[in-house]
Amino acid sequence: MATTIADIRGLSVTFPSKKGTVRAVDAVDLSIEEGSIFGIAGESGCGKTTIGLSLLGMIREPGSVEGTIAVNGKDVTSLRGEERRLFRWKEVSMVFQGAMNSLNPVSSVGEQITEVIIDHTGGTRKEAMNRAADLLRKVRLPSDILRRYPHQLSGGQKQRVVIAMAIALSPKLIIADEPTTALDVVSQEHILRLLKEVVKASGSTVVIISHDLSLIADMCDRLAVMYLGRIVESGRAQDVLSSPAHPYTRALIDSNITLDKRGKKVESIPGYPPSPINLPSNCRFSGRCPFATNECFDSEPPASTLEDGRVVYCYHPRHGNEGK
Amino acid sequence: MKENETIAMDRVSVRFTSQGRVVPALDDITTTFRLSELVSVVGESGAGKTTLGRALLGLAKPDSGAVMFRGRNIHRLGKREMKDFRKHVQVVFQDPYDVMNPKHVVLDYLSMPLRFISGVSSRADLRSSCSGLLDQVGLEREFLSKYPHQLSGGQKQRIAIARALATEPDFIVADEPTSMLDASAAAGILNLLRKLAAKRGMGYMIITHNMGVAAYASDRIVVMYSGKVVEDSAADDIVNAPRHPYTSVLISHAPLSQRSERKLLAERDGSDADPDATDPWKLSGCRYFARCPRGTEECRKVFPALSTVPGGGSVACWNPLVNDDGSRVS
Repeated sequence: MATTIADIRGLSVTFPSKKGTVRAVDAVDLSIEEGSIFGIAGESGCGKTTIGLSLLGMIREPGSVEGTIAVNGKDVTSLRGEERRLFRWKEVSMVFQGAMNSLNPVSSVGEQITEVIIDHTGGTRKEAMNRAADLLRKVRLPSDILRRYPHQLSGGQKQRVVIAMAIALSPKLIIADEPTTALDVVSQEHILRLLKEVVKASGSTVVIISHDLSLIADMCDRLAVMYLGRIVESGRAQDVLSSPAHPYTRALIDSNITLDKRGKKVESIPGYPPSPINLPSNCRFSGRCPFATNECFDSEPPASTLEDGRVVYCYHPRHGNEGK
Repeated sequence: MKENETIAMDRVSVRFTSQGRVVPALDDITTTFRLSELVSVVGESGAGKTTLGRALLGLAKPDSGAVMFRGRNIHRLGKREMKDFRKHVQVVFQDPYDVMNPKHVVLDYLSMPLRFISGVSSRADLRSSCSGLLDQVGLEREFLSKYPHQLSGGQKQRIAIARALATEPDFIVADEPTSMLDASAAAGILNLLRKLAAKRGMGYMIITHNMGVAAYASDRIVVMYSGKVVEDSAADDIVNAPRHPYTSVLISHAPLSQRSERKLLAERDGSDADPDATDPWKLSGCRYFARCPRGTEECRKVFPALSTVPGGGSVACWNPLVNDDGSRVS
């Protein structure tokens, strides 16, 4: 059995607001196998980015974290100061959403990559430069990019630079938050293929966070679908996409506008998710669910495990194409 | 349909100067859109699709050529006629948050075009007109007193559409109306636009990088690359039998419900080539040459004109994926 690289138990992340406490993530358990590609899917505001930030130990005051997060055997919540600084990049790194805008506009690509390397490994500037050139080769960029500034690069090139930085110190875990949303379709494909290759070559584990379920199903071994701070379904990516068991997963897939939907009517999910302040104690999707019954409105459904090992939080999980 | 119910571009070029060189964001574009037409303009970032929309709206002034609305050059209109043009052709932007004043409630935002373009002035009239607009986009009148930060992305986009409807336009240009939205909200917005178009006999242009969105929402698709229109055809043809090599690459990369079923077409790998030799702006021939899997010497030298192909539609390519009898090159 593969070892677990990241283990999250009972994680809740809350932020105070004028109207009350926002529970961005609410009692989530998650375990990610070493060397796998794991996907977290869901709509904006479901808490998927917050989980990514939690894995990096980046939830800041006034946000507060409950539960345990272990990455590579280290308790992330107890890391402080210098220890935490070294933990980032070296053990866990993150490719942020819109990462192309996270590069420093006034320093060259080479300076930015070598800064990370020198800061964490000591070493000379020359060694770091060689390492940086090597990294650029890995992400298939010509080495003269080192001398260039971010504004001289295309979106796809910048995204490759950011990926090069994320793998610079061979971290055990790389978190990629919407790594391709800002790119056009052809570069998207190149970046995803690259990410997959890099992971295979280095043996790192990758967590991909995206609202695009089909992208996640294509890239990932396993995935978790989130709704309003909770995981509603998790399992093998292909199983979840080909026969979603939770009505929310199904609705999410059906509402995605794809080329094969031309001439068909795509239904959006009716209504809006409830507020993350004062979370309901029943099923969170019940108000928008076409299959909801009295028990769904009364209490929160417990986890049930399907034959293929999938875990679903629903009183009425779908099987196959039933109810479509 | 009346003969001049169109908005058209006649040899329109719009140039920008960037890092000391002139970049033609739109290069000699001639095309006509019926005001009742449902059309999408597709291309990657930098293709010139936003500039095309802005030129149609009169927001980007052509360096040469003319934009004609109902047969008249929009840059030769008098002040009052220009106001009238704005009434007929409206716009919805990508990120509605950018254009909404955070200190104004929805009522203020929706009132503006009514006051300044349609000349409604009494508070009671404004209120009832604005509630009517909200109703058309599927929002309750309670939204009149909300601030932008109290709205979800989908709700904001609905309000932007309501504002565009305020002047009862004939045609709406929507620039990436769904790219900031979740899948479900995006479907809601496109369904709304389609419903409004059918109900009001109105047409629209959706500018998008997403071929799936274009195929879902329109009858005609214009594909742009580096300031040029490379294919302009019925949406069914674009989806099922794209004729330009670039269109067929885009179609092969477009999202499918079962992503694993896609058969991706490769482009020529230009990453090792001399950047100057592959810079689309420096080529005298086809701009897509450096990436094109079907490129020949001819393509390098002379830019192919947009011309009709057997089977209908227009393509700018020396080697389109179509035979003389209209069948598709396999």
